[in-house]
Amino acid sequence: MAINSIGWLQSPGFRKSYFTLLGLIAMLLVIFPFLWIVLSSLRGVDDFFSLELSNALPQALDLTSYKLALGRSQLVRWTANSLFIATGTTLLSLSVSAPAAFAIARLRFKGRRAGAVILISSYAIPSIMLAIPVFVLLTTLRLNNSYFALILLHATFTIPFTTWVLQDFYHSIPADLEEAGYIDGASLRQVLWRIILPLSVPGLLAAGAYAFILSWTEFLFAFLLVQSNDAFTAPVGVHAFFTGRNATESVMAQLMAASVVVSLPSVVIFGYFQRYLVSGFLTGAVKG
Amino acid sequence: MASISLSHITKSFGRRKVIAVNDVTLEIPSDHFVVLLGPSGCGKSTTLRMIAGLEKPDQGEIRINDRVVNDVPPQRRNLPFVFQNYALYPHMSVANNIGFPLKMQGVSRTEIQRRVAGVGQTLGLGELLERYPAQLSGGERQRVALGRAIIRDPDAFLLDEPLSNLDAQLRGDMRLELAQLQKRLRATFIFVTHDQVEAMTLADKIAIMRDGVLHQYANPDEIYHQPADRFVAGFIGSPMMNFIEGKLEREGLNAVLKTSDLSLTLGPIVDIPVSQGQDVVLGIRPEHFLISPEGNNKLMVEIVETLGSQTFVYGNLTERQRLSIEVDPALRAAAGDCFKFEVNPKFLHFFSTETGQRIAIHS
Repeated sequence: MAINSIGWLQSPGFRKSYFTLLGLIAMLLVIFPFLWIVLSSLRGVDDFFSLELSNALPQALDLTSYKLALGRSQLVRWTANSLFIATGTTLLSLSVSAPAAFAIARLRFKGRRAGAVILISSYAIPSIMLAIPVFVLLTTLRLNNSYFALILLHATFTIPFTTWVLQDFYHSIPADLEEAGYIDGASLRQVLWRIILPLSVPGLLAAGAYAFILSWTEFLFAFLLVQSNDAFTAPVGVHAFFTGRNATESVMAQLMAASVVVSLPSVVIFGYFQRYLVSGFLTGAVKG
Repeated sequence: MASISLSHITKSFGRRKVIAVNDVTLEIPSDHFVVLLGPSGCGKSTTLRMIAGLEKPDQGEIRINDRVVNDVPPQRRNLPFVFQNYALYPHMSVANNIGFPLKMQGVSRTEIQRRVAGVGQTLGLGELLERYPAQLSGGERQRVALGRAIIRDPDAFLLDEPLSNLDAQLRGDMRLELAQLQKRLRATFIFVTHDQVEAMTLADKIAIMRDGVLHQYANPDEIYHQPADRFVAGFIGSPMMNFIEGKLEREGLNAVLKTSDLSLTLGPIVDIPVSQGQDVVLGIRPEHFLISPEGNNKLMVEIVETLGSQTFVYGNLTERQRLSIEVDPALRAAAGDCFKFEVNPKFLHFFSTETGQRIAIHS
């Protein structure tokens, strides 16, 4: 009887609900800050700092903060800037890492292994360490305050990762297909362009979405390099809300609204491409 | 069409230099159907890949029509290669798969369409041209892979176990089609397989390999009836050739094979002029025994295999010596039967106990 009485602990139903509950808690932890931002942005300004549970959900949909945020700042312009930079970073990353990953995955040359290790270990360097040298370098080259510099800089962070994802993806494509291409008279470039890349669309989408989001959310270098108000990226623009203002309830509410507006593009991109992200990152892992 | 010759080709892989192909020399005459045969890991596929240019030999020379091609990349060898898993491009339609080599040659679009239609008709793919590889059956994929090879009007065809992914029925059909295709195209075919039936039925000449070494290169008849060594003798033929290790001796007018617990009468010394006491490995194929009441040797049947047109019986001649014999199906052999048998002296094979090489003893 004693054993039977704890039998329910091992029942599939209990285990399922247990894991579901754990999943929900994890999800809530991750999503709570963002949820709070969205809710605060929709609340009336007067209730902004209230911690009353009854005030948690907005009583009525109040879009004043959005109107104020959009009216007072160049939020649309900053979002457009970010869109331009993130798109540029994505295109640059993919056009460099697609062939580079092919070389690492399939070609045999001296230094291939060392190159691949150096590429991935560049992640071990905290970006704050690079901040001053990069600032000095780009200022000397008169490239500060330019989108081009920012795209270049963002690409240096995204390329190692996108290269890694893509080379992993290429490994899942049978070598026979590539060899069939050579046999059929295709050059190395034609094999990459006509056979490997069309088969790597999920990998390219995953790597591209990652590069886009990383560039979109990057703050440190955008903050250091871009000085004119017009050229701000979205995260820098949102930060600028505070500059020269008191943190009144109204300003805070506008900040929340601005944050929501600025997050939307990357949320949309992530939402659309998330199935590729998962498949792209897992292909290499499960092929074995 | 092309003749291909390999001269002392050696290839090893990896840091440990594992030898895949060891000093192989092979002349493949123009318009011949040559099969590279052997167990897995014998180096046959590596040899084919070196001919295609997908691997580079460490030593030796590969010639196509007397031109050394060691440094010629696969793109410029004009040798189509049919892969075991067909390697069709999944994102291209059947028509685009077949036309791909022409596209790479810069042939005009209308000309490609015309030739693809022609090849499609030859291979019975007419209605499938707009489909994608994932929508095709194994046999259809196989045809598309062949189509991609044929369309180039090549010097020779290289095929790496192209039938091994098909089911038995289809494999038989495709085997016939391949044989017809080769006759029609009058082209050189080099075909890799581990299946002796494919080799025996398709080949003008068979090259048998093991552990990277070429054991014999001859026509199927010679391979079967005059195997160069014990490995070839055992690899070709099913059930396998019987091997009995012993001493050849004279007993009266007969030649006899003696082991510690067996004395097997082989036949009159007129046919088998033995020198006294020679150590040999005797090889006899199952069909070269003669069941007869006057036979000098006896076998107790343990297992009977009935295949319809053929019946094989298996039994122990002595404790250590198993034997398989083909018998007349009309005998209706059953386990427990005891047969007296003779061996046919004309079809005995002798191999060296040390090297396994064939020894000529027959007069």
